[in-house]
Amino acid sequence: MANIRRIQVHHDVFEMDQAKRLNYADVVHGEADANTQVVVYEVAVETDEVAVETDEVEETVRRGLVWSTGKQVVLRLQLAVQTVGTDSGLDLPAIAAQVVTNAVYARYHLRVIGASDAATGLLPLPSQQDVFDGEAFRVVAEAIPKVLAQIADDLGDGATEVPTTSRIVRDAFDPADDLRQARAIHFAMKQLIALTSLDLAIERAASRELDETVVRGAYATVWPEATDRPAAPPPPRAVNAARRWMRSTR
Amino acid sequence: MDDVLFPINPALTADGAFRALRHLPGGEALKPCRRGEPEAPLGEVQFETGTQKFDLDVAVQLGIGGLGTDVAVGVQSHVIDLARYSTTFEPAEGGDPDLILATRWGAGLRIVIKVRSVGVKAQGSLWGLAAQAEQNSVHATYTLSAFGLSSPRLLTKLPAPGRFDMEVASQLHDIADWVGSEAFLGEDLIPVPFAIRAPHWLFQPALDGAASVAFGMRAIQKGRPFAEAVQEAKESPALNPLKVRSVYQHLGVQSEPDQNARRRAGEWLR
Repeated sequence: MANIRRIQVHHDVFEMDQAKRLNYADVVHGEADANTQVVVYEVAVETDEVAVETDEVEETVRRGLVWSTGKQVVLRLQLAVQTVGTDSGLDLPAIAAQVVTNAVYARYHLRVIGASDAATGLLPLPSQQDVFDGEAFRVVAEAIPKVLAQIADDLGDGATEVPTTSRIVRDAFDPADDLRQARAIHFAMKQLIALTSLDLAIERAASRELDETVVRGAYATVWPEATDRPAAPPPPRAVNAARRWMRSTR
Repeated sequence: MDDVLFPINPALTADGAFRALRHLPGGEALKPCRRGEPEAPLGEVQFETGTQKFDLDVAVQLGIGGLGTDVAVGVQSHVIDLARYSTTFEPAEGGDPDLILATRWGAGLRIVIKVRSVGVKAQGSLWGLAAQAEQNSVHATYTLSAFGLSSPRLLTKLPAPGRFDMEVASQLHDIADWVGSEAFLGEDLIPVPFAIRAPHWLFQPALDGAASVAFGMRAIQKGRPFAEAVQEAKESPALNPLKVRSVYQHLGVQSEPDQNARRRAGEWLR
């Protein structure tokens, strides 16, 4: 039996720019726009101590990511969903149903890396994988448990020679980001103390090239209703919280 | 606040330090406590029925944040561990006993549910979160990791792709039951360091961490020596001395800040 080091399953939905950063965008064919999201379901089995986690920073696209390189079998379902401005979510039957009614457009890839021919043979051929409609959903839903069961059998028998491959396992913590984030939070706190509305704080943050998402987050942390009243000055309790924060830095 | 038990990514560097903590100053000394000689036997199965909740940026620092964390504001990671473990306290050779106070070595399952909630308070249990996700009051995704278990049979029990809801929660719970009743009985468990006890300030939410960074910048702007600033941070319950140390390192200040460092800190604070 193969010596399994770790089994990981992750299932998430990513905006297009995130999907590109995480190398999940290959399922998107030209039709990508701001409303395209990529749904990913990935099962990975690392099979021995050869697997090590490494930072890969030589390519800009890989910056800030941690990769696992070693002997591993990976099953990956990717779904590119072109929505109409709403979150596609992870409800696969609903996505397939919306494709049928032309409410969204979705296409998919279902791949395995490092599995036996027997496991790979249970997948639809890549050339047959295209639009994610009701039939595709049925095929995917039936194939995944069969493939996973075959992989389990292969690993249990020790029959599979597992090749070495790499996959992204997580975002890395970047100390430089820590400083950038802290600067945006410090700026937001100063704006709150100066009774600046969220809208104006965002405008000022942009002119200083500060991360506006962090500024929004800082406002929301001390003033949860800020996004509902973006043009209003912050209330006294938010200003007091910002003052307390500022005092803690002195 | 006292010390806190933090779940952590078990991956280690070649030198035996936690890989997830390599970014911290002195990260090479952040090693799990020794398993002991002879190795401590693993205890009974422990299933944390509630969740430990962390801001996503803290989960990223601990290496359990997963992927796609660049839009992390307002996102929390709920962590549920099921494990057979032993807790050890003896510092590793070259380890920092002031920061890694204890280590849980074991085998088991970790479920991390990433939750984005808008205007509602996220529940603190697997079932509560699943119910909220089903009602669309929170947006939840999940990661399941098995560590130290060598049985491939887990692959036949995984939830199918789809939204995180009561059915998926039920399947995750069934997996936990199966692990507890069968997988743990095997002899081939390979214990890994999956949780540590550490000072509460070591991993802080973004707002608290930013206060420590701003403190460091202000100290440099004022021309305060490195040792004095770090000592004051150590004595303050709200500040993280490692972050202050990072700020001094970032601006190249070894002892007393020079004019250039003071100017750069002033610009940062503007």
